[in-house]
Amino acid sequence: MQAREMAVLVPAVIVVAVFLVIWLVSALMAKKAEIVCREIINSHFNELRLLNDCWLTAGIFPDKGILALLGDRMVFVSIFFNKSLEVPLSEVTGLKLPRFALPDRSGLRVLWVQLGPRRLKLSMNQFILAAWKTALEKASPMLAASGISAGIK
Amino acid sequence: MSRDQIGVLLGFLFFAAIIGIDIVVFAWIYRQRRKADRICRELIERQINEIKMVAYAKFVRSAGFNQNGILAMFNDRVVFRPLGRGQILEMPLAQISRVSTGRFGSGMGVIKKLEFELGNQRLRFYIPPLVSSAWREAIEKTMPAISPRPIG
Repeated sequence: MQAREMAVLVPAVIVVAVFLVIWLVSALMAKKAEIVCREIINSHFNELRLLNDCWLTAGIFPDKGILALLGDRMVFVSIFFNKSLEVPLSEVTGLKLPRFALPDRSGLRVLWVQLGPRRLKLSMNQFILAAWKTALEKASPMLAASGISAGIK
Repeated sequence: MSRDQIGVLLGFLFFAAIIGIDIVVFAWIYRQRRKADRICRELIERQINEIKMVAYAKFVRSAGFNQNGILAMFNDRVVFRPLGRGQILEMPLAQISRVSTGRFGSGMGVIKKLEFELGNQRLRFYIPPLVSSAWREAIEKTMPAISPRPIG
């Protein structure tokens, strides 16, 4: 094969390979999400309040998964790794939703959930984030008792 | 005016147009977001004990443009509240005879089809792909007699 043909073929193969990897990762994520959703619906349907996909940052790196608001707790199941996080609503002490955040191209918006000294960053669809904020305000005993959520701007 | 000056002016106009379009799009999204916030607050404050799921969805209309809105599932019904002008759609779960989701996500996996059959009527929505199976599962669970096979 001539050098000129190789110069065209190699980048084309790389582009196709990158798209295949993206497609494969998306398909695997979708499959894992389907399993997680089925499990949550089958085992907690009666106490389910809300369920959405979101990015959660508990430490440094964000993690994508399914977040479900149940009767007395919030459950996050990662679709990248085999881990889950359970947060009792009694531990939620404050919420912070930046009111004047400009819309960005990702379509995500951030809600900070204060759990005593630590806090979680939830990034989810900008159009439904208010539902989560209102639901958490109502469902968290501490926030419901105070009437307003501490730290909201 | 020299050709150089015209080139600079055209370049400036091009950037101004791009920034202008961005500002208009952002303003439109911001307005939609405020409407969505109001709808979500209303849904949750009034019916927190009944609500099961909420998702941002697009309602596919046979004629005209798709309609953006909030799709909410309650104990006994599914409600679609458009963000723009348009009627609120209410689908009692007792009337839904079949539900299906698309096999593949479209638009690089940004949306996925969710279709309800109510008698002769078919209502199609596009919802986030990762939770589409939860919607199908939840509706099938609420209506045990429902047929899970895909429509069409």
